[in-house]
Amino acid sequence: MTGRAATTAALYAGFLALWALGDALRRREPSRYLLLGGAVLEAALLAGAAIGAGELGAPGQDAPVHGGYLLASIVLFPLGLLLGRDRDGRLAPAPLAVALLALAIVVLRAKATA
Amino acid sequence: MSAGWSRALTAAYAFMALAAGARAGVQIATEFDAAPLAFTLSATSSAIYLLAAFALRREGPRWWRLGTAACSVELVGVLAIGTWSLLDPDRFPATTVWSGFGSGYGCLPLALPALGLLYQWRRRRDPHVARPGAPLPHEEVRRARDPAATERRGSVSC
Repeated sequence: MTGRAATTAALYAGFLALWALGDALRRREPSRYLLLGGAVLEAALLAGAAIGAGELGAPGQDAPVHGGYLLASIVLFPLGLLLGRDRDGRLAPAPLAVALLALAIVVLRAKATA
Repeated sequence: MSAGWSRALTAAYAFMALAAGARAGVQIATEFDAAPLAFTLSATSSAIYLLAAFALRREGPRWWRLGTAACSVELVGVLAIGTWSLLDPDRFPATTVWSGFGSGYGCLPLALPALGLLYQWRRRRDPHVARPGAPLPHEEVRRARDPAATERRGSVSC
């Protein structure tokens, strides 16, 4: 994901991270709208990664590093969902907030290395 | 409902292990000769992050000690390498995770061990985590209800 699309995705991930952080501070389970927003973001990142993978190796691009960031961008949100579940299967919002914040940074780094 | 702050800390460690490990793996595979010290340090830090992520999630005195040791090594590492990289930048032609006190990762490598050690300090009072041989919660309830029975049970030797 490059250009304005990457900036938009990073800002959107940051917004979702703040939402999850708000839920964590109020000790509430993440709302279904937050998870739906995360799913939309993940779909956009998957599409962006597919397009970015097709353009890997372009002149002036650090291909391995950019590929690593593309891979990280699609793995982080599912990993956050996995790590956020407790033994009863309930989802906690704080790990999700950390995952979304990391995602915003990774998308910006991917944009910088494209 | 728990907000899951401890799991957030574990998640942060897992993400750092992923980021540092992937980066070090690519650099070691493609350009190890350019900066062997820096890339080896990045790989080492990734292993420590992974160890800390596992240890902070587990219960029991052994895991508590392992987690505390991992966080301590990490704190010493980031302070030592951060200072070294500023004093002698020629030794680090490529940056490591700990260079400049982790400035490449928003100083998260400096904040994480401090948060990890704070978490471990708070957890030390939890008898099931930090103290070997501590009674489990159901045993404490039983002891509170009937101390004599617990004494009798404790005196039987097999």
